[in-house]
Amino acid sequence: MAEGLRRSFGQFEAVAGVDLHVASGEILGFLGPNGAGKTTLVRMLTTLLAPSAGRATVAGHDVVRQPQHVRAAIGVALQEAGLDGLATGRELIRMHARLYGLGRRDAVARGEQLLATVGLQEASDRRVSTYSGGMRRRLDLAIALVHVPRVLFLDEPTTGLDPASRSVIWDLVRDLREQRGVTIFLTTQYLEEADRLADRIAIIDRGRIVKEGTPAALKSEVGSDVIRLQVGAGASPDCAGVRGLRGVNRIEMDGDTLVVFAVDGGAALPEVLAELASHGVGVHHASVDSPTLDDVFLAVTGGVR
Amino acid sequence: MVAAFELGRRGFRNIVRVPLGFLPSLIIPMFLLAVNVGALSQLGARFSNGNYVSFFVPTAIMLSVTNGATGSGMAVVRDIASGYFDKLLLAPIPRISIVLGRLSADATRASIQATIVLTVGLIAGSGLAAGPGGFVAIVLLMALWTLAYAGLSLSIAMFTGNTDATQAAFLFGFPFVFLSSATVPRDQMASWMRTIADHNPATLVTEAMRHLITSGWSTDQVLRGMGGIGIVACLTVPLCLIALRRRVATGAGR
Repeated sequence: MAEGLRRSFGQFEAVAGVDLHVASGEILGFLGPNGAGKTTLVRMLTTLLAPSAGRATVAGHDVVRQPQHVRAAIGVALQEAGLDGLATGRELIRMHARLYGLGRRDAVARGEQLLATVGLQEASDRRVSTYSGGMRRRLDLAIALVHVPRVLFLDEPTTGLDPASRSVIWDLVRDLREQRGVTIFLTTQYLEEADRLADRIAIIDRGRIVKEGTPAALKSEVGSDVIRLQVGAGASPDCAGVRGLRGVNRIEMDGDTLVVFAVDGGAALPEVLAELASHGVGVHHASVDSPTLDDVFLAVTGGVR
Repeated sequence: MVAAFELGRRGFRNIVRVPLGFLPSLIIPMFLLAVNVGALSQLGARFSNGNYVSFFVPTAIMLSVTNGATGSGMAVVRDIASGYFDKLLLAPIPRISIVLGRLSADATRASIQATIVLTVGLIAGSGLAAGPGGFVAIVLLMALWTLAYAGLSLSIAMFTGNTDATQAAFLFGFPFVFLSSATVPRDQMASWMRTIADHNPATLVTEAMRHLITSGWSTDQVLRGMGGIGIVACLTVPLCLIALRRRVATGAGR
């Protein structure tokens, strides 16, 4: 839980008053454009960074006054899996089990169990520096789980991974919640990932939570069909007068694609195409869809990523 | 204690796994021992009771261990750069154990370095007047010296998180050793250099080892050597604690 949480770096306010509540056993998908304050918020919640103002509790412990209790209750897999490349996977996981208070024998057993869970048993005696990106992520996740945390922070856990490695991590995340009731704070840039895994989604932009709700509720809030028109780079959505058409709620440019949010996409499409044509704007490809989380993100953040 | 032990074990394992990281600090002093003894043994005999090897062995030990200690911060900089330092900060351990673990790994390395250089010195004919007790005392002094001196390198590493700045710790190591009585007795020095050497804690440590090698056991000398180490520790330990606190407080794990 966070109340009025803020963090400034000099004049720049990276997190500008965040209020957030995550229920026990919930998976919260945490989204935002680059530089929106996601990592800063995660670093505060995990005790790596002191807030400038406000307060936050994790697993019932205050992040400023009871940081040791917070650390004992959380597992964290940060964006770039920071691991000791000179150690083997087995050495590293056993050492971290010891750092989290497990006895020597328990550390060995827990290490073997987790190495099997993340599919790294065969590679466990190789130095971590020889691991692929996916193997490092899986090891990092295993290390985050050595003490069976109550809250797990995953900061972009699948960025840059191949589909197979991504699937392994998704399955693991689901199992953790379903079998152990672990609360998961999932930061991701993949909206599909948030849509598949998260019970609830929070979107942060310019240091503030700008939208919060279940994926279904957020999609319904868009309240429109989504017309995507590939118009080529340089086209301005305002020049074509599409905004003024009946049934059009809003428009956004996403790269070379004009995105039109309309009450009835099928009905609006011919009018939109005619309006664009009358202004000499060619359309290479057009589609009408129900809204996705991408559309929610686009509508909320204005398409800046 | 468990955390410091585990992190110390990890630190020492990493030292062993990168031999090029510590071999220069072992080989160069022994090379200097061979060259100096070969070139200066006639001259050096005048101020070393005829055995320049025994005079220079403490210098070689001091050079080896001090150079090794100045590299201590590099391991921390690597952890900061890779993000692994964050991983350690996230563990529910006293954060000082991160520093203690690193220092204990370095002290173990220093003990081994001192043992090797001293053994080579004995083979080369230095003798050891204080006997096995003197051997142990010299190794212990070097382990303690490393605990104190490596704090400087660790502090720079934690303050800056920068490889180049941390490597600059070598600049402090050379004056410490060469502006002491490591290479010539104090009574043979120019007055300005003698003034510096008189106030250099490294002089006390070097002379304690030299006394054990050339003259025999002296509790007074060992205590003086430990006093020299204590002076350095008075500077480096608070510096190290401030650096750790600052790195933790600013959230600058990387």
